[in-house]
Amino acid sequence: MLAAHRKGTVVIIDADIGEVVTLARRELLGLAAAGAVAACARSRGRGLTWWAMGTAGENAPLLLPPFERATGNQVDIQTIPWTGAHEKLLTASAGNSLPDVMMLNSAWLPELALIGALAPLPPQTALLADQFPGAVESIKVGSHAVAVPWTADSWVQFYRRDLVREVGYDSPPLDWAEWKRMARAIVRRHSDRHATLHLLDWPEPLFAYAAQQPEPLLRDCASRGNFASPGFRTALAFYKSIYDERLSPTLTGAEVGDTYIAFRRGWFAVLPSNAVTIGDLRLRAQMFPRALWGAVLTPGPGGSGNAMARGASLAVSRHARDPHAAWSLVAYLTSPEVQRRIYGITGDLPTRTGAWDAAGLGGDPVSRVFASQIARSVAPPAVPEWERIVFEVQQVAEHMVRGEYGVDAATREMDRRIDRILEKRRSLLDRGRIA
Amino acid sequence: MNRQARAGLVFTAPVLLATILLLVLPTAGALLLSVTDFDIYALADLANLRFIGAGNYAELFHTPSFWRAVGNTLLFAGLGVPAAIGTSLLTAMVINAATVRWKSLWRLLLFAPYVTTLVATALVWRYVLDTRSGLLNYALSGFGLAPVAWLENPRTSVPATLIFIVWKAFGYNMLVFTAALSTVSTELQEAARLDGAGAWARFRHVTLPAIGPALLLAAVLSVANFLQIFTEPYVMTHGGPAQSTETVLYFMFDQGFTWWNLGMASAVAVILFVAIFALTAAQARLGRRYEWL
Amino acid sequence: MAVKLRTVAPNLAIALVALLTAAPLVWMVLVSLMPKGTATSFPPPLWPDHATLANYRELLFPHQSLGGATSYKVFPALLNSLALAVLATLLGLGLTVPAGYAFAKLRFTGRARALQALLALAVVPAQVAMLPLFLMLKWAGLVNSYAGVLAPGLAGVYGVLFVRQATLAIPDEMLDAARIDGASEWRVFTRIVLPLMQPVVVTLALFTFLASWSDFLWPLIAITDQRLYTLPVALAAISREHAQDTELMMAGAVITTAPVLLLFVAMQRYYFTGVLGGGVKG
Repeated sequence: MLAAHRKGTVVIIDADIGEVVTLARRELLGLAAAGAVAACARSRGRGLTWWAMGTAGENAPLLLPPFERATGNQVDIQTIPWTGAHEKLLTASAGNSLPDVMMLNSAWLPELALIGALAPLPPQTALLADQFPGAVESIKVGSHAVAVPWTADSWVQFYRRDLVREVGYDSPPLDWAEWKRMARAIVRRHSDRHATLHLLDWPEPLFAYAAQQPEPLLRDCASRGNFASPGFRTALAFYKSIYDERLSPTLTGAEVGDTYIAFRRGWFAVLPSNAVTIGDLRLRAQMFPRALWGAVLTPGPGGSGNAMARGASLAVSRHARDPHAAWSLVAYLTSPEVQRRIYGITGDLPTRTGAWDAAGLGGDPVSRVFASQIARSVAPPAVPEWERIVFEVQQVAEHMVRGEYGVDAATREMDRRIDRILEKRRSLLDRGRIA
Repeated sequence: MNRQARAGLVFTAPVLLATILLLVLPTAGALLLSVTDFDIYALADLANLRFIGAGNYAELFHTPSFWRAVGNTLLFAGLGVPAAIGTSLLTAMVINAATVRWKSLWRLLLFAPYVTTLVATALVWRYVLDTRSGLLNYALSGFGLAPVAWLENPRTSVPATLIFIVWKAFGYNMLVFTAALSTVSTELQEAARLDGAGAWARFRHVTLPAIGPALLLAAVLSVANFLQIFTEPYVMTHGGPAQSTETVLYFMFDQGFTWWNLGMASAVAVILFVAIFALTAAQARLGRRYEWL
Repeated sequence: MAVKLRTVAPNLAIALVALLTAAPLVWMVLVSLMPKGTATSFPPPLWPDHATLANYRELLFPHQSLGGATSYKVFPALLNSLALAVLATLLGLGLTVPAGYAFAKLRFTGRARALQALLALAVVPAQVAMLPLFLMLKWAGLVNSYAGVLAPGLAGVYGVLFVRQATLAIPDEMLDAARIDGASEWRVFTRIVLPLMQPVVVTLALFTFLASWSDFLWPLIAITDQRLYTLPVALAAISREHAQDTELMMAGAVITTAPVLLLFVAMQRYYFTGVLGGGVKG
C-alpha cells in the first residue's frame, strides 16, 4: 500500500485490488479517530453485522476493506433481496436479532421507530451535515432523526431514443395528454408492441401519478384513506386507461422475465424506473449501448409531474453491541467519498452535496434528470402502516386492471381496506397514546 | 406395580411436558391471541393491546381476501383430494395386477417424489410448468396442442399447482392401497367374475369393502393436508397470479409474519383448526356408518 | 408362447407411469449440469450440451461477483440442515421411544387418560401453535437459534403413538420373566425391549430425520440470520432473487434433495415398513 500526498488529500494505492482510493484529509482524520476509538474498544474483539439490500448490498463488500483496515472491525455483511426485506427486518426486530447496522427503505422508518428497533443518532453528530434537505426530512420520525440518508432515488422515464423518434418525438412528452398521443402512435405503428411497461405487481407508477394530485393520500391526521378523492380518482383512471388502451402489457414482473432484454428488443419504448436502472444498464452496455436510451422526468397532468420520494438510509439497531463501531461504520459509508464510489459501481445516487459535486453528477444528463425529479418528490405519509397500505392499494389496482372493479368501485374498496388497516391508529390517536 | 408405575411416569414425563409446553400451551395461546388485536403497535408496547372479543372473526368475515383464500383452499381440496386418492388407488390397482418382475424398481420410482424436499421439487416444477421453456408445454406441443400459461393465468394456476402436489403426494397412499389390495381375497374376485359381475360391480362389492379403512384414513389425512397447503404457493407463485393460489395458511402467514397482525392471524389459525377438526369428525362418522372404522 | 395382454398391459402401464414420475427429477439433475442460460430456450434442451459443475461451484463456494467475494451460503445451510436433522432425531428418539414403550407395556396411573389426550392432540394442526410459540420463544430469547428451530418437534405426539403401536406386539411374558429375574424397569427396557424394537427405532429415526430436513414453514419463521438458514429456507430465499437462473436453482434443488433421496434408497425397507404401520416381529 503506497501513500502519496497531494494537496489536502492522501492517495492510497491498494496493491491488492489494484485501485486508487483518494481520501480527503478530513476523511483520513475521521478514520484515524475511528481507528483510535476502535483500538481502545478492541478488547471486545467482535465484528459488526450489516444487512444491505439490492445491488448496493451485493456490491457492499467492495466498500468495506478501507474501513476494516482503518478500524480493525470486521464487518459481516448479509445481502438481502428487497422482496422480503421488510418482513425480515420486522421478524428480526421481534426476535431481538437485528444486525448492528441496517440499510433500509426510508419509508419503513416510522414503523421500525415505533417498535423501538432504531437507535437515535449520537448527539452533536456531523452525519447529517451536507445532506440534501429532502433527504434529512425523510429520516425524521416526529422531528427526531433515526437514520442517516444513504442513497437518493426517484422515479423517471427511461426511453428508447429510436422508438420514440420513429413516431416523431425527441423524448417522451411530460404532459399526460401529449404523452398518451405518443404512446398511441407507438402502438398503432407496431401492433405487437407496447408503449411502456407498467408492471401489475409494482406500486409505482400508480403512486407517482397519485403524488401529482393536490389531495393527500391519507386524511384526518393520516388516520383514514383519501383514495376516493377526485385527485386520486383521476390518477387511477389514467393508470387504468394505459392498460385498457394496450399501451402497456398486463403482466406482473415474474411474467415479463428479463426486463432489460425486453427493453432492448423494443417490446416497449418507455421504461419507468428508478436509479437502480442506471447501474443495471451500465452492466449491460454491450447489449444496450448508451446512445440507444435516455431519461426524462415522469409525466404529469399538466407538464412534468411529481413522484413519490424514495431513498435508502442506514440505521443502527437499538441493541447494537458496539454502538460506537456501528456509528463509525455508518459515518464511513455515508461519507461523500464512499457515496461517490457507490454511484460509480451501482448507479445509486448520493445524498451528500459534496459527493454530487465530486462525481461531476451535475454534468451527467441522466443524473440531472434524477436530481430534478428528486426535487419534485412528495414524501409518503409517515405512518407505520405505510408499507401495508401500498401493498393493499396495489392489489386492488391489479384486480381493477384485470376487470374486477371499475375505477370508482376500486377507490371505494381501497378506502375501505385502508380505513380498516388504520383502525388501530385511529383508536390510539383518540386515546392520546400517539401524536 | 409401584416400580412399573414409577418407570411409566419417568418414561412418559419428558415428552408429555414438552407436548404441554410446546403444543397445548401455544394452542391455548392462539385462542387467546385471536380475541385481542395484537399487532405492530402491541409489539412495540404491550399496553397498546386491546381485548376485542370476536372482533377479529367479524373482521375476517368482511375481508374479501380472506374469503378468496378460503375459496382457493376449498378448490385445492375439492379438486386435489379426489385426484390424489384416485391416482393412488388406480396406480395401486395396476401394480396389484402387474406381475412381480421389476416391482421394487417401479415402487421406488413411484415413491421417490414423496420423499423429496418440497421446496426443491416445487422449484423444479415451477420450471416444468414454465410457459415458454417448460417440459409440460414442450410435451403438449409434441401432441400438437397449444402451450398453456400454467402458472401465469389465474384460471389455470390452481390446476397447475395441483399437478405438482398430486405428483408429489400420490406415492404414500399408493403404498397403503397396494398393501390393502393385497388382502383382497382372489378367490372372492374369481367367484364374482364367474358369477358374471362386471369390473365396476366387482370393485364395489369385493374390493371396496376390503380397502375401506385404508380409504377412509387416506381421505382424512388428505383432506387435512390439502387444507394446509402453504409451501407450494409460497415457492411457486407467491400466492399469485392475482391471489389465485393464496391459501388460508398463506393468508395466515402473511397476516402474522409479513404484517404482524398476530391477533388476526391467530383467528385464522383457530378457524383452520376448527375446520380440520370438523371435517375429520364428519369423515370418521361416515366411516363408522360403513363400518370402516 | 401366447403373451396375454392382461399380463403385459399393466406392466407396461406401470413402467410408463414410473418413468413419467421420475422424469422431473431426472430433468432436475440434467439441468443442473447445463451451462448458464441454456435451459430457458425453447424448445427446452433435454441434455446438456457440455455438462458443467459450474452451478454447483457457484452455489457452494464463495464466488466473485461485481462486489467482490459473495456467497450464497449454501454450504453453511447444508451443515445447518444436517446438524438440526441429527439433533432432532436424537432428541425425538430420546423423548418418544421410552414414552411409546411405556404407553404400550407399563401400567401407571393416568395412562389411559394421557393416551386419549395424545390421540386428541394428534388432530391439532401444527400451524395453530406457531404464532404463540414464536412469541414464547421471543420472550425466552430463543428466536434465531437451534433451540428455537427444534422446539416444536419435541412435542412428538405421532412418534409416541407410532412406537406404542409397534411395541404392542411384544409378549408380556417376556417382560414379566425378566422382572421376576430381578431386572429393573430400565434394564428391561434397554436389554430386552430396545433390541426387539430396533427396526421400529430405525424407522422412526428415518422419518424424523427426513421430516426435519424438509421442514420449511417453521424454520422460515424462526430464523432470520442467513448463517443459520436451513437448506429449504436458503433455497427459497435464493429463488426469490434469482428466479431466472434456472440452472442455478436446479443445482440448489439437487443439493437439497439428493441427501434425503439417497438416504431413502439406502433405507427403503425401513421406510416402507414404517408407512405400512410396521410392527415388531415378536
